[in-house]
Amino acid sequence: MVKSIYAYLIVGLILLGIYILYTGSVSMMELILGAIVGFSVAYIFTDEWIKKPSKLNLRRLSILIAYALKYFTVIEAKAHWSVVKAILSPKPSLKPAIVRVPYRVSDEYAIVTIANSITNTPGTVVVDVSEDKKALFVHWLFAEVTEDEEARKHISAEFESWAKLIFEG
Amino acid sequence: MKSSTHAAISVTVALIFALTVAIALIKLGFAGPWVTQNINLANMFLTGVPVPHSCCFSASPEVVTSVIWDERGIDTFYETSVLFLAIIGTLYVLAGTFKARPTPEGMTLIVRVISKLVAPIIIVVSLSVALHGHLTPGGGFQGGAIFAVAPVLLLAGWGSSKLLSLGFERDTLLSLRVTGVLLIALTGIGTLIIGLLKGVNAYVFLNQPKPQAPIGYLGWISTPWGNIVLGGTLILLNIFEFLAVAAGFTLAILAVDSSGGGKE
Repeated sequence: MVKSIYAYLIVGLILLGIYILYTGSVSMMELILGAIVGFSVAYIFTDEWIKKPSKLNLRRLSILIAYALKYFTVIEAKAHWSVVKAILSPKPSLKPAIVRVPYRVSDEYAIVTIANSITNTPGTVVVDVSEDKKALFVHWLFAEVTEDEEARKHISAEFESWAKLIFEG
Repeated sequence: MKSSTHAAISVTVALIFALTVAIALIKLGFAGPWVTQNINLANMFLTGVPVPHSCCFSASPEVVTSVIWDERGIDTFYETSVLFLAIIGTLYVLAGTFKARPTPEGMTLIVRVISKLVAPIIIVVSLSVALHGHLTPGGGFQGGAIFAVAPVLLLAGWGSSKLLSLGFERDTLLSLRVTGVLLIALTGIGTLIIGLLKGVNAYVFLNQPKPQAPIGYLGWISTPWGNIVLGGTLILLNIFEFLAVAAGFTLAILAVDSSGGGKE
């Protein structure tokens, strides 16, 4: 079932893009086949992917791209560097602990963005999510602080502000 | 027995087996750095399949798929039938236990969101693999097996109620599966029927015209943008095999899950 044609077109085009990317060749035949495949699969999954089509816009997309650029260059590099230092130093100052990190977003994509941003940076891994307590449980290699709010400031505050801009508001 | 002893014995047995096979292949002259020639059968297919008017021309650059669906088509049909019967058997054994269960506990929001994001991408990739079976490595069975990963992920994250609400219902899947196998059989005997009607020689699972059998399937379409290669029966058989395998695996996974094997 498809509730919104706008969302259906976007999901269908994304799937067509994935089809062409995976097939690795662009021709008339591939575009027609890819469109048939992409829009048929989109017919089943559009409502799963997009609950509120009115939230899809270019502003959010450009913020997402900006976040991806910053995340995969600056943030990742910093996190890798701290782990590299710990690995190479003869006496690393490790303080492994599992801390509770509260979040204040409600959109499911926003929560997953925060969780995966935390997991993908070296040194921190999300081990569980509590949806009723609105908190992530994070294994942290350098747990300088263990209070919820302090840990949030160190680990996820930046990710959360980006996720809020992209998926909420 | 301790698990370490177990592991040691398994590794030793596997190594001895691998060494025996390697030594046998070298002794028989099939392997080793000094073997520079293919066996005759391989040469026959490698030189025959891409050449028009040769005995085993398949109108497709993919030699492996050609051998599987053209030269050995009837063999592959029986392999598909074996899988078909195996799945019928699974459903028969688990009959009556088929019902939707609620969302499994213990799966976090992350698993649920990522599985619903990845599932359609897996399905698109599986269709690409199946539709290009006559051009690149892959084909109907491989595509169908990739497809089955999507319901497995959705089952893990959401439970079978989600799959049912998306349209993966038992009767739909069963009809798709039967349709797939039937269409494979029909494609196989299609040339035979036309041959009988026209009064010319034809074979079962005949793809391109042969010297003794002058009829065959459409190998390619010429368009202003270039030729579209179809490979005769190859693209049809790959699509039908994809239907049969994808629906069959999904059915088997749903049946095993709903019988309580998916969760303990």
